[in-house]
Amino acid sequence: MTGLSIKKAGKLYGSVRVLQDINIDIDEGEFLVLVGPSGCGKSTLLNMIAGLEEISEGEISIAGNVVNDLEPSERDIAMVFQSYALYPTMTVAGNISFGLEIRRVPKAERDAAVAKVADLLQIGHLLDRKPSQLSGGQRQRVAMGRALVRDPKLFLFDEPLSNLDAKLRVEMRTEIKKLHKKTGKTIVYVTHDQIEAMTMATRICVLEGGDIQQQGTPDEIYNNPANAFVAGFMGSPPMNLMKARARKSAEGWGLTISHGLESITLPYPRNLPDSYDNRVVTLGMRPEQIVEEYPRDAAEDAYYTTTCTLDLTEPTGADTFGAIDLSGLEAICKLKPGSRADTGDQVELHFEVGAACVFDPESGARLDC
Amino acid sequence: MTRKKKTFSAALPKIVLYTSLLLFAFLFLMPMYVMLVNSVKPLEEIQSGGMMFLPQTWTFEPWFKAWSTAQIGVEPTGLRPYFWNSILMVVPAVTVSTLLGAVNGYVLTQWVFRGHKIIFLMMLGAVFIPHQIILIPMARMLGFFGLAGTIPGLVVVHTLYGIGFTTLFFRNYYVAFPSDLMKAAKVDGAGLFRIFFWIMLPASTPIIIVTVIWQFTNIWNDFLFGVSFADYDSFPMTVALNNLVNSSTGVKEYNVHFAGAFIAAVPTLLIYIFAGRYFVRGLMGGSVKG
Ligand SMILES: Nc1ncnc2c1ncn2[C@@H]1O[C@H](COP(=O)(O)OP(=O)(O)OP(=O)(O)O)[C@@H](O)[C@H]1O
Ligand SMILES: [Mg+2]
Repeated sequence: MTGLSIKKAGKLYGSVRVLQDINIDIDEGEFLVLVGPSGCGKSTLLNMIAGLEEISEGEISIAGNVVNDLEPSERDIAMVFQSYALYPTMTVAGNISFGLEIRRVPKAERDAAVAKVADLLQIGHLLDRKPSQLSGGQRQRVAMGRALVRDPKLFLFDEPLSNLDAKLRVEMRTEIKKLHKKTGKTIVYVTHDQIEAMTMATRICVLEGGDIQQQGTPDEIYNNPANAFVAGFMGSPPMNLMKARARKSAEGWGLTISHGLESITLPYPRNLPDSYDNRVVTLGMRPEQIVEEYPRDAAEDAYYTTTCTLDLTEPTGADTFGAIDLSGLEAICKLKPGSRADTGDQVELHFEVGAACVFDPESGARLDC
Repeated sequence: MTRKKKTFSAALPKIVLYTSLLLFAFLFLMPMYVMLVNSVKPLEEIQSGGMMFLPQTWTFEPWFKAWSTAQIGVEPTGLRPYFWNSILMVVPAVTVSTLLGAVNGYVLTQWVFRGHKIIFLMMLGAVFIPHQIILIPMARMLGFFGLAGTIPGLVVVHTLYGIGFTTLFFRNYYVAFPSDLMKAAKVDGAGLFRIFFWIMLPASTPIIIVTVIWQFTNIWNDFLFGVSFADYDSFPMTVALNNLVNSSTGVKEYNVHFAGAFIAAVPTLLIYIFAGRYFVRGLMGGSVKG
């Protein structure tokens, strides 16, 4: 593949290991999002790709060329930082053209390139200002302009939106996505915001503790999480992870979870390893897999229906979520839009058992197949 | 009535504050007043005991005399040649030590290498070396290089002695410099010197001003190095002023002495007036940011 390829890369600070056995391979034009909780090594990996951190182990190639021993400026990359990192004493135009100036691009060409980028990002009227005279969103655009103007092979973004307010963040999110469509460039984008990852990526790589937990398209990551960590990290509200007892009988597997003083046994249509018979497992179900309204076009037996007591309701506008006590945890379920159900009410809930995931309670590894 | 009391007790801290500020201002300005009024009086008025009063006859003769004809040592040259000696010493010494401090601070914070902490500690040590300790070794060194008794020799001494301070100032300023800026510049293809001259230095105005003021006043006011390492034709202003005041021939011309002392203080006064507010701002800026 030609976009970016990382083979067995690792990073050590002295004797402290922060990344290990990182293997990533993406096509030209892909939008790869590195996502994970704070401190998992996302920025470190991005800086290794950029050449700002030494690569302790393994090999990184950009557009087919091994870049391990190249300076950042020789790697044909551009980077956007969380703090924007605009040069404080230069004008917006100066900021954007600085890299071209160093590369000895003639003035006329530079001006044309700046004008083109300014047009694309709608910052033409700001070119003579200093960064301190710009709003957060405008600074963000200038930072992107500085990256775009160089027309590199690979774009690197390190949490570029996390300093913006919620509304602007959503706006810029679509804008970056559009830019990606328009330019067709390969992008590696770091965020700890899983919504950003889901909405922007063509490919997601979930990192945790210096390891890749799972790689795949947003769909794969969301619907088919490789382990309990990915399942719990992606999605908002997150997947419910409940303690359940697995039992094998003649009819197949059953998963028993407590609901208050009662217990619910969900018939599980998929197969589990025999060694888990009569053992506690982690059952993962997304809120939209525990619903009040039986989906119209769903098969007769796709859902298991039972009555539960609501502990809490939470209308969020479009959806109304409810909390029910499952295995001692507040599990989130999805109620009918505009549902009148209130705390303490009995509601009939439908469990989409066929879509549920089962994980090992200790290692978190996915068990069903 | 009670309302009035309240406002008084609320204002009390302010009253105390301003009274003590005025008192201190008075204490500091008193000598300056004495110097000024007596530098524009004929000598007889001072001798007749009118130190504290305004002059009855105004004269600028003492100023001209101090500047161009007063006896300094053996020659009746006034302070003028020594004033230029001081300028020739201060300008290169301040420029070079400030620039070196900036480069040191930049490399010690942004291009760290193995052992950078040890190097910095050693440079910091220079700040704590008393002047007296280095007199003899420095004299030997200047002699060895043929710089003894010359203005370039003084420039070298002051530059070397100042590097510890200037490095400390710039290091503390640059240590808070956002690392993302360095990274962005590296990705843009800028090297060590390009980043320094195009990005770091232009963003360093406050600390440059602090360092220049600090170095300028220290070097301008230095007496010990001047008297130890310079010669009759290379003495700085401070030494010349001392010679003027202590010349034993004839009557003590206090009015000329006062005028001379004032002339010696003018450059540092000007620096404080024009750059003083940056001095405070720069010192605060560094500490708050860190
Ligand atoms: N210079 C260093 N020396 C030692 N450890 C470091 C160094 N820099 C980073 N680390 C460690 O490496 C780990 C990964 O850091 P990194 O900055 O890549 O995290 P991140 O995933 O980007 O987190 P965030 O979302 O908070 O930005 C952290 O645990 C951090 O403490
Ligand atoms: Mg980070």
